Amino acid sequence: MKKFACMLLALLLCLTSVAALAEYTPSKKAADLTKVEVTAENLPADSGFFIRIVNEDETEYQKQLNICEAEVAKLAASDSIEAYFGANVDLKALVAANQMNVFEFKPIIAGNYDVAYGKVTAKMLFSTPYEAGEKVAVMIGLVNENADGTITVDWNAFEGVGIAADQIEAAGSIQVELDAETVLAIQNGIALLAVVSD
Amino acid sequence: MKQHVKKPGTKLKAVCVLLIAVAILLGLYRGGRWLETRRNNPEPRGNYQERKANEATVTYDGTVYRQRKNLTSILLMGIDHDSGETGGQADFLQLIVIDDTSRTLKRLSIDRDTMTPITVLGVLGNRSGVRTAQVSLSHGFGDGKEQSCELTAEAVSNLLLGMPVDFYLAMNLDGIAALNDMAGGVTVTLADDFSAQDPAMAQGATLTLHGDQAEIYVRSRRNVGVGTNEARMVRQEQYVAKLFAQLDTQMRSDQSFSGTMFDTLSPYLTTSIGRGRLINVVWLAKDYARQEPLSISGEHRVGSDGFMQFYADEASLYETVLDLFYEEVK
Repeated sequence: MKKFACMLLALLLCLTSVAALAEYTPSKKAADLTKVEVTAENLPADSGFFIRIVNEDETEYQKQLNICEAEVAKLAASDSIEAYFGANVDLKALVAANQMNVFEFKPIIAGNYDVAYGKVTAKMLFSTPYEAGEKVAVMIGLVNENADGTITVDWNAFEGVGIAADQIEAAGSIQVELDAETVLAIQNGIALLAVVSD
Repeated sequence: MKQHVKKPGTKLKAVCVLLIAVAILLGLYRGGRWLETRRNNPEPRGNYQERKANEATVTYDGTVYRQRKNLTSILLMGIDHDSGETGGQADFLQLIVIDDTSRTLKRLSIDRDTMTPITVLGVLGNRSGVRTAQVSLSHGFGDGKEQSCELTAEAVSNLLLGMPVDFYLAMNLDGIAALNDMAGGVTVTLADDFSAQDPAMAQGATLTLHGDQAEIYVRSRRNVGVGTNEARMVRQEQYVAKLFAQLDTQMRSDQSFSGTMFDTLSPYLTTSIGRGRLINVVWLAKDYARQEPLSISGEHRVGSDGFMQFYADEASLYETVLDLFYEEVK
């Protein structure tokens, strides 16, 4: 009888798992090609710490999206990529290329971070297929809302590198190390992310 | 009284000037004639053997195939903008291949999750590279109009081993109700329950879909049946087969129908084929033999990112391309 009950239970479990598998599997959208995975030096297991990119349909972040759009327009109108990001960053040295491009430019947010967690390593996946070993400059822009209503962005450059993907959907990832001060600034203010590559 | 004395050599100079003027005129005339007649030279007759040798042929399973001529391929797309992204996704993809020589019209249904190389655009609209992803995502890049459609046509061409996509005709899925009603409504038996969206659409019911019911039937996926795109595609396939059959009947009997359809749907359309050309192509193909829609077999997998992927079987893909674009060399 016990044996029969066990078999029945196993069968039930099998059927339940099959039903669960057959349940809604989402189809991918272009926005799903972008995501960020983070780890930190002293990250507790249940910290809930995250850094993520804001997608265009997230209306609760409309202010960040509007600022981002305005900055993209400024970049498009600028004489060069270097001219837009400012002369204090040697982009050519970071990217190791004469010809530079900006393919990624998005608002970025962070949450549940504490400075005690230390340096953060972020794996960022974008739609652009960055090659493994490719040098890129990850630009973090901290937005200042001035008293006269204007916006200025302080850009900080971080050395990023393309990483090999073991899965087809992870192709295009880059890795970057961010200091605690920058991550805290992303969490407490309005921040933008841009990637400069060749 | 002054005396006019002719200087010696004046007559000679006049003769020389006259000769030079005649020479220039003659030169201009010859030059003009050359320009006129240079295109009249007979063309070389060409080398027939060389032309045959340059014909695109492939060998598959010991049989030689050559690329068909007089083909017109039109990519039909159903675009869903619900995601809020600029481009939206090409959730419905069907390639129509019309062969004016064999007088056939073939259709190929393409799974929106088919993994294929797609072109990715950067934030400033420039090409940032090519990556392998779901074919429907190709529409998400670009302006949501012509640029996005061109990227999807390119992705479909990539999937079909470089075969050309001559035209595209993309309809926002918001237009499905209008299209459905133009066909007089489509009668279906509901295998799944849609009553949460429309009480009349209960599982097992047979009804003629009108207006928004068609959109619910074609678009819904979440909380309907097993919820997979594969299941929705089967449903779309059945609906589209009936819809196309009804539209086809009307297009075959009334030359102006395709023009009326074009006008009615134009708020929802993005296309590279002109109204007049579409009417002509449709009317010309009205008596062509129709075949059951083809599909590429393959394997559905859930990727490590939790999203559905469809990997086309290489042999099936190759055979489908041969069927659509090639003919056996006898």
